[in-house]
Amino acid sequence: MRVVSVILIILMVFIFAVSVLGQTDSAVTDDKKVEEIKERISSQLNASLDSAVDVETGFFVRQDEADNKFELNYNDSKIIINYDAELLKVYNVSGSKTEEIDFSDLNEKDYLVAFGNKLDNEFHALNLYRQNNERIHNGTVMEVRKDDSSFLTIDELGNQIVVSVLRSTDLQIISEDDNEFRFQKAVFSKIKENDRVVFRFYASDSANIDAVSAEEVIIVPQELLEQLHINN
Amino acid sequence: MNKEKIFALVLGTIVGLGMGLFVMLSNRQTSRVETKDIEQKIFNNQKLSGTTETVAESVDIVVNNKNVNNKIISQKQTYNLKLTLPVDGLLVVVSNYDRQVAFVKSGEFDIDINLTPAENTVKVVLYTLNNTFSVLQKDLKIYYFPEKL
Repeated sequence: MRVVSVILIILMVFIFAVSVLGQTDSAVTDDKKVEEIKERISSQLNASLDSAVDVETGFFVRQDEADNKFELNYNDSKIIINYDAELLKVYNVSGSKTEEIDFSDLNEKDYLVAFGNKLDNEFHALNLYRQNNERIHNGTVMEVRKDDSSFLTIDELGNQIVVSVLRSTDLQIISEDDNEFRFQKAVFSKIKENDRVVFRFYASDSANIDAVSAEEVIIVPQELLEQLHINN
Repeated sequence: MNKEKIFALVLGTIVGLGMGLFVMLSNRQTSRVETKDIEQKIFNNQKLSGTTETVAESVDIVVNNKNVNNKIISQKQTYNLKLTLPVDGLLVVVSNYDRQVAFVKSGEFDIDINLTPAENTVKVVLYTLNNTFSVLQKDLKIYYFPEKL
């Protein structure tokens, strides 16, 4: 009788200890798994939300509005944009300002950015933004033409562009003070041969350009690069 | 309580604790293997879903953000651009709405760019400090879409 009760006590304590330790650990493991699954679902959801929004850009070509379609052209490639007249929102972007406009306000060759979804290789736009077709180039100044406030640049591939500086052009020069680099307002006379420049301009179409009017010019003086070369 | 019962309690506790620990350790081992599998699956999915440029042996500026043909869609007004730069140099970043300059060392570098709605044309130029001051550059389009579809 004694032996039986001793065996029973050993068994009970053994089962109790195993179940307590096992359950605690499996609870921790389950919590971890739940967290992992949550993280996985959340990252996959974010990825699919990102991929749900698609974008197409190009110059506007009006088509029969009864079809609820229009065309965007860029670099000789054309894409048909489908839309629902009731759902489509159209905006005009100027700098950081956005203003809602009507679809009928759009003009031929306006540069448009269409956000929407691509379904079965067909693009369906829900939001349209009209803005300037901004392009940014860089190069080395080869020649400064003071008579008409322009300069000739050449890029790494040998392409030459004449850049006109207008009154409205934002001219900035990079300077260094105590290892701090900053932009400073500049005048045309600050541009010198062999300076590097980065310039921003609007392009009315996608064709290659050889002369532009700059919206912004950033001058990287040759002396600054030489100084950096010596110091580093 | 007599001697046998105390002995039974002590023995049961020791054997029970030993078995419990064994069960716990083997569970952890299994969970570690499962986590590794999940991580591998997520890594593989990322490789399939996003195009990230290869960093290895590059002599160019590498954009580490997920992008397709240098096109990025952002739903936030500020975008954190992550770059890997092969050499030291003067970095100039220009966009429609922002411009930034910094002297940078080779390696990973990130920069916050302010965006305007719709298309943001971004030019990243690195003026290297070699004898010819050669230029490395990257053109990007970041589309800021403030609404949800």
